[in-house]
Amino acid sequence: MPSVLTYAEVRGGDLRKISLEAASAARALADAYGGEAHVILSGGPGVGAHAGALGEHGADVAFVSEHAAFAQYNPEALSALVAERARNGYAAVLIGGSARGKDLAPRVAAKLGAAILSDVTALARDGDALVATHPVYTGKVTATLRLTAGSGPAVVSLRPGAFTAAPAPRTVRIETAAPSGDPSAVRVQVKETPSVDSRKLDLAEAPVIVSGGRGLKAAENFKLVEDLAAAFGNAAVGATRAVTDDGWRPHSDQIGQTGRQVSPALYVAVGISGAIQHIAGMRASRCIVAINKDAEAPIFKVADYGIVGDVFEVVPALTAAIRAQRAKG
Amino acid sequence: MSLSQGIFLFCLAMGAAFFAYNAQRLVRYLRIAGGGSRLNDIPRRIWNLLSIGFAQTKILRDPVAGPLHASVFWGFIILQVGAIEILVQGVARGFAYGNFLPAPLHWVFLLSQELTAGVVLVAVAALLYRRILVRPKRLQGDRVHSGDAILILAMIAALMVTLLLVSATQRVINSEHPVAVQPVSAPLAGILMALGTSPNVVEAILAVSWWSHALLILVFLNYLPYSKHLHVIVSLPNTFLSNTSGPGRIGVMPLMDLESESEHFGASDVDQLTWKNLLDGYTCTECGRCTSVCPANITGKLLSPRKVVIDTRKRTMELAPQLVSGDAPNGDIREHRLLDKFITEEELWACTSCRACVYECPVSIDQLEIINELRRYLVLSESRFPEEVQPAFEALERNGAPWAFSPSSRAEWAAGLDIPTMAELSERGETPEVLYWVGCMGSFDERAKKTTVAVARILKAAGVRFAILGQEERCNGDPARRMGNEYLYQMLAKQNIETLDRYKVKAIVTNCPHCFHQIGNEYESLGGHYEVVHHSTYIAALLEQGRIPLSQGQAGAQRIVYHDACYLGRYNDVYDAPREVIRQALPVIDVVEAKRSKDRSLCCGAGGGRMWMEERTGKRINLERKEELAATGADTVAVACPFCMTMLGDAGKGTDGYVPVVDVAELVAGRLKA
Repeated sequence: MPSVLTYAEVRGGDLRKISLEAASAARALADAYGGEAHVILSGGPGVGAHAGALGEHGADVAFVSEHAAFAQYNPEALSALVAERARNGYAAVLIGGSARGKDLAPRVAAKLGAAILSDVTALARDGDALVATHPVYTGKVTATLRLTAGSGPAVVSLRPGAFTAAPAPRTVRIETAAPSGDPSAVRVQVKETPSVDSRKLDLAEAPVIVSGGRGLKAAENFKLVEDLAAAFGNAAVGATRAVTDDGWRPHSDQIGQTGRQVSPALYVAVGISGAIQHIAGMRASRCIVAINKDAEAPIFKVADYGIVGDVFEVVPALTAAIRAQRAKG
Repeated sequence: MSLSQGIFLFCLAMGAAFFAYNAQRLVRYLRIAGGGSRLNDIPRRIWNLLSIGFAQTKILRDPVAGPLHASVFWGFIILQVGAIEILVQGVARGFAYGNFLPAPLHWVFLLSQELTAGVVLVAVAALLYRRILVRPKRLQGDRVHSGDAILILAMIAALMVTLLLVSATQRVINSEHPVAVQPVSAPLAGILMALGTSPNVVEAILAVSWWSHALLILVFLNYLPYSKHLHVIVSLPNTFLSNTSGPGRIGVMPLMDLESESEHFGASDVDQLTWKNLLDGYTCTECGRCTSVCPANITGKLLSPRKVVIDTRKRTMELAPQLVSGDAPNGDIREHRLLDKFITEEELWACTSCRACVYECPVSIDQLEIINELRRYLVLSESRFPEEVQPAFEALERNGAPWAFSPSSRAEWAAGLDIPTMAELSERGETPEVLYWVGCMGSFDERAKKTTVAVARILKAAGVRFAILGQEERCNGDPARRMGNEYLYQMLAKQNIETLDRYKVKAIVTNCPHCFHQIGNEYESLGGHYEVVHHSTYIAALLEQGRIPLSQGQAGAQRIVYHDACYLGRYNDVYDAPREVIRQALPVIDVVEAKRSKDRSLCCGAGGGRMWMEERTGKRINLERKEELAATGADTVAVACPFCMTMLGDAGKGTDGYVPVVDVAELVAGRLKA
């Protein structure tokens, strides 16, 4: 019975959540085929320690490949390693569609001469065929793809968050997978991985965004927005173009047509009038709360909840209320 | 034939031959580029030549340099009559107009030459003073050839001095004319006589002056092709051949043949431009009027329209000799192309397409056409544009609007207003008086929607039977076209034309100057012919006819400054209608003008697709303009364009003394009888 192979991504010493999602997806598919779920766990020395967590999520076998050259993302050697393993009669190779996975999956598919299904949100077996769905046209349409069995395994990249990491504990067997060549003898050498403030939530991932506009009157008043974001605990701070133009906030914080286009679960617009430039970047948010002293401000037209009032009074009160609520648990 | 006649004849022949050689060389250089004939509508072209060329109307827009330049220009024309006399004298000794002209007529000629020479000398002195000591800002930068200018001015001065010395010495030898017709050389002659200059010396001065003058004319003529003062020869032809003041509709971008087998779309080098663009390069004398009015340049961006034209000339002079000599240019010279090596992406994307440069140019150069062609190449051939433009292009393609709003929400503003769509009317077999074209800002921007509703209320109050397209409306394509994406533009324009023609639409009123210009002027070349009126003009006419019932109550005393939109003003000459609307709607208000207004108005910063780009360098244009408008002391800024509305509305928001912005239609709607 064919098994399912997956790749576990470790970054900065931590196993990424997407890898557990991939492991769970592999478990479910392997059950459908009546095979096993295998995982490739590669990284710097000591990476094998994560095998247990993968076992908790349904992995039967972990092929561990520890090498200093795998401590950083190493596209050439890693894709060779995964492809080599994948040639052992697997039904499918599942790769979590993180930034790294989006790079790795097509490389593996090319090496295998295999078909690739990308950005997949659901996966099932249907006889000899593999059936996958993935969204197209920015999610307006869902396409169902049917891949009939071919010569090699199907390479599938999984949309982050689409599969749930579900516990399916078992004792994972650990095998060593030695890379065939010298993984450090590759053309691409990672010299440095600069990172922005790691405490800062990325706007694209944050479930809550608190944004400030010119209504805050001065750069230092952005403290109000930051405090409110901190009170939520899981919020990122955004800004309008006028604000980033004035240098109150870095350009990377700009939300709008010419900045970041975001769709958090909750968007709080503080002192933002709602010019089309801004609306175009945030109107896909699930719930929009606007705070502005001008009841005529266009932002209220797109807001689900509006508070007409002075931001210097409303925002601190809101911050205090959210803090109190969260303290209560 | 005397020896001196022989020498002169030789010089004359050499001068003429050398000039002819250069003339044909420069004409051959123009031929490396494409572009069709420009001999349509000759009467219009003659009118441009007379008004812009001979009457110097554009030159005179500068109150200081204008009259000085016009003096030299008109002087030059008058002095040509004298120059002919001198050149003929060189060949046929003893030739003089006085030999056959009756005395009074000859005196007129003498007086004209004397006075002109005097005026030109004074003007040249003033121009030299200005260039060397005053050094106005617009004569700096872009590595302009100041030395060249000073040399030419010095040559002109020398021509005038020698001319006057010839007259003066001739007068000493034989003073046959009244003092009154030689008001300059008579006193000069008086000085020579008072000094007791001997007849031999006088003869010598005459000979030296005459020879200097005659040879300087030839030197001057042959120096021109090697200097920016080629301008002297090609300005008038360039004005005649230009389309910037007509013939045809003004400010229209040429249609691009997307089916052509051409290897390039747009232009990356001078031979991909038109011969007229290259002639513009020859014509520019680097006066800097274009750059001094450029909103990007004023606010500290890299763009200088003058540099665009100078670069075009420099590159022509570099590439053309190789192309016309028949040697295939080597790779290096191709590498050193106009785009990137002379004119950078950063300069090109800074342009707001406001047309101030084109409007200001005294010799009808079209700086904007070069910028637009290079932008087309960047986008269509190399897919290079600021990354933040991508969402706009994508939304235009998928949603038919530059923001990703669903077409189904286009008519949401009309909910409850009982406004029929064309589809509904045509189902009932009815046709409206006019189609109200709302535009994307008017449909999706919450602030602009208020203007949209205001216009609709006015139309209803006036009893105008109108309809909208609703979901069937698409962006007119202007943002795509101005950003160089001609392919996307034509797709949108053709869809709209198809829709409009399906409903047999003839008359259209628009909310937005960009829709107005596109549909009214640029759709023509794609086969769309409509009578398009901007809402300010339409409302002005309704007010004029007394069709809009206004309440009689006093409006609070207001001081309003109107900001001219580029695509309404410089592109379409609509300056009075919006002001008239304000005056009629609010009879007690005070309408004031900003420092730069009407055809000199400063752009709000949104045109040319800048609305969808970041402004990373220098001062923001909207702020510069808003400050200028606020400086009038007005308590309200009135606009007639949704893009001006958002730019000026944003500028200074949240600061004390913020001046609110309203559309002229909102002023009228606010006064409608309940």
